Amino acid sequence: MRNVAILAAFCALFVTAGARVAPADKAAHVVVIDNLEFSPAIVTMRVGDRVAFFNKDFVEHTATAQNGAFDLATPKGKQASWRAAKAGEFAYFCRLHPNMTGMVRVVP
Amino acid sequence: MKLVTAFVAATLAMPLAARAADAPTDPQIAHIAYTAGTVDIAYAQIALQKSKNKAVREFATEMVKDHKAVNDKALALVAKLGVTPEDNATSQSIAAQAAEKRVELSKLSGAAFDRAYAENEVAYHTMVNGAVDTLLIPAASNGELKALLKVGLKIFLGHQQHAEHMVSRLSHDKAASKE
Repeated sequence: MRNVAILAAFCALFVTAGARVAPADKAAHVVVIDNLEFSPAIVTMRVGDRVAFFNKDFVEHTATAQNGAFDLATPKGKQASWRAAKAGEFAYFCRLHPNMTGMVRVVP
Repeated sequence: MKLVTAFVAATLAMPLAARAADAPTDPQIAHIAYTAGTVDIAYAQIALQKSKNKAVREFATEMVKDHKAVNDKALALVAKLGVTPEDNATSQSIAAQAAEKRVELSKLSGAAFDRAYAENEVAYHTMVNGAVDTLLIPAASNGELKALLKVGLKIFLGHQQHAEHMVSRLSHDKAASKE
Protein backbone atom coordinates (compact mmCIF):
# COMPACT_ATOMS: atom_id res chain seq x y z
CA MET A 1 0.00 0.00 0.00
CA ARG A 2 2.88 2.32 0.89
CA ASN A 3 4.44 1.69 -2.54
CA VAL A 4 1.14 2.53 -4.23
CA ALA A 5 0.96 5.81 -2.30
CA ILE A 6 4.52 6.71 -3.30
CA LEU A 7 3.77 5.86 -6.93
CA ALA A 8 0.59 7.97 -6.86
CA ALA A 9 2.50 10.91 -5.37
CA PHE A 10 5.20 10.53 -8.00
CA CYS A 11 2.59 10.46 -10.81
CA ALA A 12 0.85 13.53 -9.39
CA LEU A 13 4.17 15.38 -9.27
CA PHE A 14 4.97 14.31 -12.85
CA VAL A 15 1.57 15.39 -14.17
CA THR A 16 1.83 18.74 -12.38
CA ALA A 17 5.33 19.31 -13.69
CA GLY A 18 4.21 18.32 -17.17
CA ALA A 19 1.33 20.78 -17.04
CA ARG A 20 3.73 23.55 -16.15
CA VAL A 21 6.01 22.77 -19.09
CA ALA A 22 3.21 22.46 -21.68
CA PRO A 23 0.20 24.61 -20.84
CA ALA A 24 -3.09 22.77 -21.18
CA ASP A 25 -5.22 23.55 -24.24
CA LYS A 26 -7.85 26.13 -23.46
CA ALA A 27 -10.57 24.17 -25.23
CA ALA A 28 -10.86 21.23 -27.60
CA HIS A 29 -12.87 21.10 -30.81
CA VAL A 30 -13.59 18.09 -32.97
CA VAL A 31 -14.10 17.88 -36.73
CA VAL A 32 -15.43 14.51 -37.86
CA ILE A 33 -14.45 13.29 -41.33
CA ASP A 34 -17.29 11.11 -42.56
CA ASN A 35 -18.41 10.25 -46.07
CA LEU A 36 -15.73 12.55 -47.50
CA GLU A 37 -16.93 15.62 -45.63
CA PHE A 38 -15.47 17.68 -42.81
CA SER A 39 -18.16 18.26 -40.20
CA PRO A 40 -18.68 20.91 -39.04
CA ALA A 41 -17.27 22.54 -42.15
CA ILE A 42 -16.46 25.74 -40.21
CA VAL A 43 -14.95 25.73 -36.73
CA THR A 44 -14.49 28.92 -34.73
CA MET A 45 -12.07 28.79 -31.82
CA ARG A 46 -9.76 30.94 -29.73
CA VAL A 47 -5.98 31.19 -29.79
CA GLY A 48 -4.67 28.36 -27.61
CA ASP A 49 -7.56 26.01 -28.46
CA ARG A 50 -6.98 22.70 -30.14
CA VAL A 51 -8.94 21.14 -33.00
CA ALA A 52 -8.86 17.39 -33.64
CA PHE A 53 -9.77 15.83 -36.99
CA PHE A 54 -11.23 12.36 -36.53
CA ASN A 55 -11.41 10.22 -39.67
CA LYS A 56 -14.39 7.83 -39.68
CA ASP A 57 -13.98 6.97 -43.39
CA PHE A 58 -12.45 3.77 -44.75
CA VAL A 59 -9.82 5.67 -46.75
CA GLU A 60 -6.98 7.92 -45.60
CA HIS A 61 -7.37 11.70 -45.61
CA THR A 62 -5.40 14.78 -44.66
CA ALA A 63 -6.38 18.14 -43.18
CA THR A 64 -4.03 20.54 -44.91
CA ALA A 65 -4.10 24.31 -44.46
CA GLN A 66 -3.80 26.24 -47.72
CA ASN A 67 -1.33 28.63 -46.07
CA GLY A 68 0.82 25.77 -44.74
CA ALA A 69 -0.08 26.32 -41.06
CA PHE A 70 -0.87 22.61 -40.64
CA ASP A 71 -0.71 19.41 -42.67
CA LEU A 72 -2.19 16.55 -40.68
CA ALA A 73 -2.38 12.95 -41.88
CA THR A 74 -5.52 11.21 -40.66
CA PRO A 75 -5.41 7.50 -41.47
CA LYS A 76 -8.74 5.66 -41.40
CA GLY A 77 -10.15 5.41 -37.90
CA LYS A 78 -7.49 7.76 -36.48
CA GLN A 79 -7.29 11.39 -35.48
CA ALA A 80 -4.74 14.18 -35.57
CA SER A 81 -4.90 17.60 -33.97
CA TRP A 82 -3.59 21.14 -34.28
CA ARG A 83 -3.26 23.83 -31.62
CA ALA A 84 -3.85 27.38 -32.83
CA ALA A 85 -0.98 29.66 -31.81
CA LYS A 86 -2.28 32.77 -33.55
CA ALA A 87 -5.50 34.28 -34.82
CA GLY A 88 -6.57 34.08 -38.44
CA GLU A 89 -8.64 32.20 -41.00
CA PHE A 90 -7.26 28.85 -42.03
CA ALA A 91 -8.93 27.40 -45.10
CA TYR A 92 -8.01 23.75 -45.42
CA PHE A 93 -8.57 20.75 -47.69
CA CYS A 94 -7.68 17.09 -48.08
CA ARG A 95 -4.56 16.76 -50.24
CA LEU A 96 -5.67 13.30 -51.39
CA HIS A 97 -9.26 14.32 -52.20
CA PRO A 98 -9.16 18.10 -52.84
CA ASN A 99 -12.95 18.18 -53.24
CA MET A 100 -13.04 18.04 -49.40
CA THR A 101 -12.68 21.50 -47.86
CA GLY A 102 -13.20 23.24 -44.51
CA MET A 103 -12.31 26.33 -42.50
CA VAL A 104 -10.86 26.97 -39.04
CA ARG A 105 -11.43 30.52 -37.76
CA VAL A 106 -9.17 31.45 -34.85
CA VAL A 107 -10.12 34.55 -32.87
CA PRO A 108 -7.93 36.27 -30.21
CA MET B 1 -12.22 3.97 -73.15
CA LYS B 2 -13.86 5.19 -76.34
CA LEU B 3 -16.10 2.11 -76.32
CA VAL B 4 -17.21 2.77 -72.76
CA THR B 5 -17.85 6.42 -73.50
CA ALA B 6 -19.82 5.39 -76.59
CA PHE B 7 -21.75 2.85 -74.51
CA VAL B 8 -22.61 5.47 -71.90
CA ALA B 9 -23.55 8.01 -74.58
CA ALA B 10 -25.69 5.47 -76.44
CA THR B 11 -27.38 4.41 -73.22
CA LEU B 12 -28.23 7.98 -72.31
CA ALA B 13 -29.60 8.63 -75.80
CA MET B 14 -32.04 5.73 -75.54
CA PRO B 15 -35.71 6.20 -74.69
CA LEU B 16 -36.39 5.57 -70.98
CA ALA B 17 -38.21 2.25 -71.55
CA ALA B 18 -35.36 0.83 -73.61
CA ARG B 19 -32.81 2.14 -71.12
CA ALA B 20 -34.59 0.37 -68.27
CA ALA B 21 -34.50 -2.90 -70.19
CA ASP B 22 -30.78 -2.54 -71.00
CA ALA B 23 -29.62 -1.08 -67.69
CA PRO B 24 -26.94 -3.18 -66.02
CA THR B 25 -28.06 -5.50 -63.25
CA ASP B 26 -26.54 -5.36 -59.75
CA PRO B 27 -24.17 -8.32 -60.44
CA GLN B 28 -23.02 -6.52 -63.63
CA ILE B 29 -22.66 -3.18 -61.80
CA ALA B 30 -20.51 -4.85 -59.14
CA HIS B 31 -18.33 -6.35 -61.89
CA ILE B 32 -17.98 -3.03 -63.76
CA ALA B 33 -17.08 -1.10 -60.58
CA TYR B 34 -14.56 -3.74 -59.46
CA THR B 35 -12.98 -3.90 -62.94
CA ALA B 36 -12.68 -0.10 -63.10
CA GLY B 37 -10.88 -0.14 -59.73
CA THR B 38 -8.42 -2.90 -60.71
CA VAL B 39 -7.63 -1.04 -63.96
CA ASP B 40 -6.58 2.06 -62.04
CA ILE B 41 -4.53 0.00 -59.57
CA ALA B 42 -2.68 -1.52 -62.57
CA TYR B 43 -1.96 1.98 -63.98
CA ALA B 44 -0.66 3.02 -60.56
CA GLN B 45 1.61 -0.01 -60.33
CA ILE B 46 3.21 0.95 -63.65
CA ALA B 47 3.72 4.48 -62.29
CA LEU B 48 5.36 3.13 -59.14
CA GLN B 49 7.72 1.04 -61.28
CA LYS B 50 8.62 3.81 -63.72
CA SER B 51 8.26 7.24 -62.12
CA LYS B 52 10.77 9.05 -59.95
CA ASN B 53 8.54 12.10 -59.53
CA LYS B 54 7.47 12.50 -55.87
CA ALA B 55 3.99 13.89 -56.64
CA VAL B 56 3.30 11.16 -59.21
CA ARG B 57 4.46 8.42 -56.85
CA GLU B 58 2.35 9.80 -53.99
CA PHE B 59 -0.69 9.94 -56.25
CA ALA B 60 -0.11 6.40 -57.50
CA THR B 61 0.30 5.12 -53.95
CA GLU B 62 -3.01 6.77 -53.04
CA MET B 63 -4.71 5.15 -56.06
CA VAL B 64 -3.55 1.69 -54.97
CA LYS B 65 -4.74 2.23 -51.39
CA ASP B 66 -8.08 3.89 -52.18
CA HIS B 67 -9.18 1.61 -55.03
CA LYS B 68 -8.17 -1.46 -53.03
CA ALA B 69 -10.18 -0.15 -50.07
CA VAL B 70 -13.27 0.44 -52.24
CA ASN B 71 -12.90 -2.91 -54.00
CA ASP B 72 -12.53 -4.69 -50.64
CA LYS B 73 -15.78 -3.02 -49.53
CA ALA B 74 -17.46 -4.11 -52.76
CA LEU B 75 -16.26 -7.70 -52.34
CA ALA B 76 -17.49 -7.77 -48.74
CA LEU B 77 -20.86 -6.41 -49.85
CA VAL B 78 -21.41 -8.91 -52.68
CA ALA B 79 -20.41 -11.72 -50.31
CA LYS B 80 -22.92 -10.45 -47.74
CA LEU B 81 -25.67 -10.14 -50.37
CA GLY B 82 -24.85 -13.52 -51.91
CA VAL B 83 -24.33 -11.85 -55.31
CA THR B 84 -21.82 -13.16 -57.85
CA PRO B 85 -20.36 -10.33 -59.99
CA GLU B 86 -21.22 -10.97 -63.63
CA ASP B 87 -18.86 -10.23 -66.51
CA ASN B 88 -20.39 -8.08 -69.23
CA ALA B 89 -19.63 -6.04 -72.36
CA THR B 90 -18.88 -2.83 -70.42
CA SER B 91 -16.36 -4.56 -68.11
CA GLN B 92 -14.76 -6.18 -71.14
CA SER B 93 -14.42 -2.89 -73.02
CA ILE B 94 -12.92 -1.18 -69.94
CA ALA B 95 -10.37 -4.01 -69.60
CA ALA B 96 -9.55 -4.03 -73.34
CA GLN B 97 -8.99 -0.26 -73.51
CA ALA B 98 -6.87 -0.41 -70.37
CA ALA B 99 -4.67 -3.14 -71.84
CA GLU B 100 -3.94 -0.87 -74.84
CA LYS B 101 -3.19 2.10 -72.58
CA ARG B 102 -0.84 0.03 -70.40
CA VAL B 103 1.18 -0.89 -73.51
CA GLU B 104 1.34 2.81 -74.46
CA LEU B 105 2.47 3.83 -70.97
CA SER B 106 5.06 1.05 -70.70
CA LYS B 107 6.86 2.47 -73.77
CA LEU B 108 7.39 5.86 -72.11
CA SER B 109 9.82 7.02 -69.44
CA GLY B 110 10.86 10.07 -67.43
CA ALA B 111 8.83 13.29 -67.73
CA ALA B 112 6.98 12.00 -70.82
CA PHE B 113 5.69 9.04 -68.80
CA ASP B 114 4.71 11.26 -65.86
CA ARG B 115 2.66 13.56 -68.11
CA ALA B 116 1.01 10.67 -69.96
CA TYR B 117 0.14 8.90 -66.70
CA ALA B 118 -1.26 12.08 -65.13
CA GLU B 119 -3.31 12.99 -68.21
CA ASN B 120 -4.64 9.45 -68.45
CA GLU B 121 -5.67 9.58 -64.79
CA VAL B 122 -7.72 12.72 -65.48
CA ALA B 123 -9.31 11.18 -68.58
CA TYR B 124 -9.93 7.78 -66.96
CA HIS B 125 -11.48 9.21 -63.79
CA THR B 126 -13.61 11.62 -65.83
CA MET B 127 -14.94 8.73 -67.91
CA VAL B 128 -15.51 6.36 -64.98
CA ASN B 129 -17.06 9.06 -62.78
CA GLY B 130 -19.48 9.93 -65.58
CA ALA B 131 -20.49 6.29 -65.90
CA VAL B 132 -20.85 5.79 -62.13
CA ASP B 133 -22.95 8.94 -61.83
CA THR B 134 -25.23 8.58 -64.84
CA LEU B 135 -25.35 4.83 -65.40
CA LEU B 136 -24.37 2.70 -62.42
CA ILE B 137 -25.91 4.65 -59.50
CA PRO B 138 -29.30 5.13 -61.21
CA ALA B 139 -29.37 1.46 -62.27
CA ALA B 140 -28.36 -0.05 -58.90
CA SER B 141 -31.39 -1.60 -57.22
CA ASN B 142 -29.82 -2.71 -53.92
CA GLY B 143 -29.66 0.18 -51.45
CA GLU B 144 -26.28 -0.81 -49.97
CA LEU B 145 -24.73 -1.15 -53.43
CA LYS B 146 -26.12 2.25 -54.42
CA ALA B 147 -24.74 3.78 -51.20
CA LEU B 148 -21.28 2.30 -51.78
CA LEU B 149 -21.28 3.62 -55.36
CA LYS B 150 -22.18 7.09 -54.06
CA VAL B 151 -19.29 7.08 -51.55
CA GLY B 152 -17.03 5.64 -54.26
CA LEU B 153 -18.02 8.47 -56.60
CA LYS B 154 -17.02 11.10 -54.01
CA ILE B 155 -13.65 9.39 -53.56
CA PHE B 156 -13.11 9.13 -57.33
CA LEU B 157 -14.13 12.78 -57.90
CA GLY B 158 -11.43 13.62 -55.35
CA HIS B 159 -8.95 11.57 -57.41
CA GLN B 160 -10.03 13.39 -60.57
CA GLN B 161 -9.39 16.77 -58.96
CA HIS B 162 -6.09 15.56 -57.48
CA ALA B 163 -5.07 14.29 -60.95
CA GLU B 164 -5.97 17.67 -62.50
CA HIS B 165 -3.70 19.37 -59.94
CA MET B 166 -0.95 16.89 -60.81
CA VAL B 167 -1.27 17.69 -64.53
CA SER B 168 -1.07 21.45 -63.81
CA ARG B 169 1.96 20.95 -61.60
CA LEU B 170 3.77 18.82 -64.20
CA SER B 171 3.02 21.43 -66.90
CA HIS B 172 4.35 24.14 -64.59
CA ASP B 173 7.50 22.08 -63.89
CA LYS B 174 8.00 21.58 -67.63
CA ALA B 175 7.63 25.32 -68.30
CA ALA B 176 9.99 26.16 -65.43
CA SER B 177 12.65 23.75 -66.72
CA LYS B 178 12.65 25.56 -70.10
CA GLU B 179 13.26 28.97 -68.52
